[in-house]
Amino acid sequence: MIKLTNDLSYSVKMKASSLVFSLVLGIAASTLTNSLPENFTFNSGKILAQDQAPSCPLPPDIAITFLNSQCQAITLEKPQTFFRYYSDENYKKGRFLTTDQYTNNVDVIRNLALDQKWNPPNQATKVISVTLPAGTTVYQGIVAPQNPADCYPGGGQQTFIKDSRDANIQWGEGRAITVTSLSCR
Amino acid sequence: MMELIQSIDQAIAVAEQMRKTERATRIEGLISVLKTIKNQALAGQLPPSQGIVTLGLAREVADWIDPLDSPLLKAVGKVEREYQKY
Repeated sequence: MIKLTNDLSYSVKMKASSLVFSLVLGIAASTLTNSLPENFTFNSGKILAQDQAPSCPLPPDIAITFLNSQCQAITLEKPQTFFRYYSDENYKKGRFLTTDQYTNNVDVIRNLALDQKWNPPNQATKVISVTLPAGTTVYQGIVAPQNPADCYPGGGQQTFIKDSRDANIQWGEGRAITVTSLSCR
Repeated sequence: MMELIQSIDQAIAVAEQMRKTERATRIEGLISVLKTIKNQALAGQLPPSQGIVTLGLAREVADWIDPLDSPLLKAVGKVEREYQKY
């Protein structure tokens, strides 16, 4: 009887200890998690964007233009105005738009990752408003960095449309923005 | 690295078949950039992507190519994916 009582007491103490330990561990984990940045994730190894579950309903050849190949499809319930930055009139229209408004072309080049190696380079000297009709599906995300990433870090808002030749799209008049020279190696 | 080089060669081959289209200027520019990237890769001068950085090839082509399931966009998309392994 005494042994049974001792066993029971030992068992209760062990369970209580275990409970306290779990509680302390839980509080510690919660405190640690709350103190981390929102976008922090634990990685056990190098994870490539292309290895992650696709979260962009576009072909991978297009999704890859978004940071981590992530984008969101949204069907516009009413007409909405976007922007497109360009310098050559021949390339004024296209599928890549943005909601970002910039006043300086260097910010455009860096944030929208407009690599100057193309001929002609898009120096983003002008902006045009682009009003898409209700019912248009847009794919939105963040601009992926381009090589060299210190020149073209991306990070701006990117909107992609499948059909830039839709006759219901209203392309505004081009407007000049402040132009400075890009300093990049 | 070999896969990246091979994918660039494939993209150049696809682009060369499109030289006489209405987008000849952009095709020529693309071929030139592809060759530059290939030379950088062969010389060990292409910075690693680390799974994040892109080459801007898919962004350039997806802006204007028709149709969107064009072999050219698939070819440069393949280059981008190989680069992100590098």
